[in-house]
Amino acid sequence: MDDRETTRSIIALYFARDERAIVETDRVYGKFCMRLSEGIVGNHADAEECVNDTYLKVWNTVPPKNPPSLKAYLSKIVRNLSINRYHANRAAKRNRDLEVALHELGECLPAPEEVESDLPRLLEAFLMSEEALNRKLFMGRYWHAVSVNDLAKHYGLTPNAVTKRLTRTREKLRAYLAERGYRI
Amino acid sequence: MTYADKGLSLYALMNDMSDELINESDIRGCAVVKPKRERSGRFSAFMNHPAMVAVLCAVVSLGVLVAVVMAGREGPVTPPVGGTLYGEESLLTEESEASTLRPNISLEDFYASDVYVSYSPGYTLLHCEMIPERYVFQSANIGEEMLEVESVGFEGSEEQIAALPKVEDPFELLRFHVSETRRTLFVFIHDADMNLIHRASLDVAEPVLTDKLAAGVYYVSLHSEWENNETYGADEFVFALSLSKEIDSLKIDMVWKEETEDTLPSESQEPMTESVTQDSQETETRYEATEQVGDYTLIPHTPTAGINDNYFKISMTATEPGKALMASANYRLYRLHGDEEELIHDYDVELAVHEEPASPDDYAVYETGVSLVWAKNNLEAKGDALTPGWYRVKFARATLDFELTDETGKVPEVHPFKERPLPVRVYTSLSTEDMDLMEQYERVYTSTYKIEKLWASLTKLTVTEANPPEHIRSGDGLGIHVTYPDGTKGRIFFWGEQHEYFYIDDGPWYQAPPEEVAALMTQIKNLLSDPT
Repeated sequence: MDDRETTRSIIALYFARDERAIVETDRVYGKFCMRLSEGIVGNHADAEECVNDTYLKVWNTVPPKNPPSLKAYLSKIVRNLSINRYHANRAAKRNRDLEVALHELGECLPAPEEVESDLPRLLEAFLMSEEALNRKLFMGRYWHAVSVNDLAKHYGLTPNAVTKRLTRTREKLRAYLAERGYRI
Repeated sequence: MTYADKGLSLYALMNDMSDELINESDIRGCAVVKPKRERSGRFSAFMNHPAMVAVLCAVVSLGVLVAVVMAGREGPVTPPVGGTLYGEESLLTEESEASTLRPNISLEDFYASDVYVSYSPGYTLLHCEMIPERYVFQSANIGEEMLEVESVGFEGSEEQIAALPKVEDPFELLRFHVSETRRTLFVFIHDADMNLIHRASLDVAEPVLTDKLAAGVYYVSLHSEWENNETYGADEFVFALSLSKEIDSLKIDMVWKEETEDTLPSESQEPMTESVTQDSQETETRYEATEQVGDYTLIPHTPTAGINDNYFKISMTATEPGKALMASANYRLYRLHGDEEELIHDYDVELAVHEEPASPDDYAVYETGVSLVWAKNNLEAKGDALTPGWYRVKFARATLDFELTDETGKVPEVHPFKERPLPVRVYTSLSTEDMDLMEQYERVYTSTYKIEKLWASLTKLTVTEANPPEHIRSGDGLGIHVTYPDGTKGRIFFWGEQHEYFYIDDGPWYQAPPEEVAALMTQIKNLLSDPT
């Protein structure tokens, strides 16, 4: 089953208010959610709670929501909850790898109040103009919170090569935004 | 604001990126059962990977000698004649030791219930270490990136890693993986031209002798299979195996899996890609031939409970043994007025069942549930209601009459909390957009004192059976996740504007007076701030 088929069959369970929807969601996407959350919060216990809360939110919102990709829908929720959790925990336990990624993002993007809701669209437009590999690396690093080493392994690159590509992409993004009048 | 603070805000703002970008860039994968035809495509892509060709050349020219890794399901690994696996007297030569002992990671992220692994052509397995929930195969790289040493894959300090038990037999780890996830794991061994020369299942215990492997370079790939025989492609998981001398006396604790013999390569050694493709086609054909759905039975679940608790267990059985099931059928609900049927709800249930029977003699069976809640919503949207009375449900060729009763307001014979043991762990959470409020309820309790206090309040709630309106099932909810002394888990969800409706696990709905629930919520907050 591809993601769309999987989504359809699981969403059908949610719509039928069949609690096996959660079991199925966990079976198919549980590990994915855990890894995404762990990449952000940096520890298993917090990630487990974020993922549990994600399931609760999905159960609450589907229906009426009918997401075309359950995986993307889940990842947005789990990411959001994990960011909030990370924010709350930050003073006590920092995830060094994520901190580096955040620092890199902070260097190349304008202040949040300047971009606000435009950011996703701006980034999408920029990334779609980029080479596919660079786009995937950027999203992998800054959306999915994957470490440079893991990206390198996956794409058959050296960590150095990944870092260089990410740096170049960030520089281009910076220039792209500057051209559009944003102050970094 | 530091760059990192700014980054965190921006990071959160990025959440609304498009699904396409998110899915395209996900490298972690998930446990989606994939059709076999996809597998062959990925494998082909792997074969054609330029790095693979380079690695092959590099491997052959190096002529590195490495130990053999094979194992059975039970008992210790039988070492190859003339040496021990990874031991002092292994097949490693001095020359190869120099290169292979360089610490490196070839196959990482082998999680307990996940088979998403990245391939690392050119790596030779030396030994592996097991880290709880994170398994790292430590190896030397004999491929084109031979000189690179990457310290990736480990989590924890050197002391922590050193303290972990060493797993000298990597397949021991894989067997653990198999038993954890209840999958079958196949090992494929290919020669340097990627012809499949050996295929074996790791979950078959009987050891056999094989003389198929001679000196040369081999590649080993692992493929796992779900219980329902859907193969999950793990083609990426390939490592090189270089043997230095005749090993026809090597004992390998693996056997051919009988039912797969027909897909094994012949003496002419069909390339692996061909074998997979043929396999996929067979599977495809089998599915196409079994589109006709079998017999259905409808089993009412909790038929006399409140209306909201009714759902139907639909059981399907294939028409012929050995056939898979594909199901898409129409579900109709009628209100009965004597013998007269009034159609009140109608929709297609697409179950997407691709269930293969365990053996050619078995009938494939699939069960699912259809809730009445959706029908109830539709009726309410039309100004109608699912009232107590007789109804009929038809699903494919099956029909079932049932009576809906409404026991709202009835006091249950046994208080729902009194019949449950005192949990040993409790986690409370409130689902709300208000993060500050949410945090006031989020906590894990392991203190017996606190759990007893919380449980005492729950057992004191005045409880009646309920039939809550549908809209309360959306919105904020209080979740109480519990772990009982025997390790089983349960959950209690409170819903409604005042959290007055709740259910435990999959049980029926109950209602408690809002003021009692409000007191419970206050108590939870107080427990959080209670330092004892």
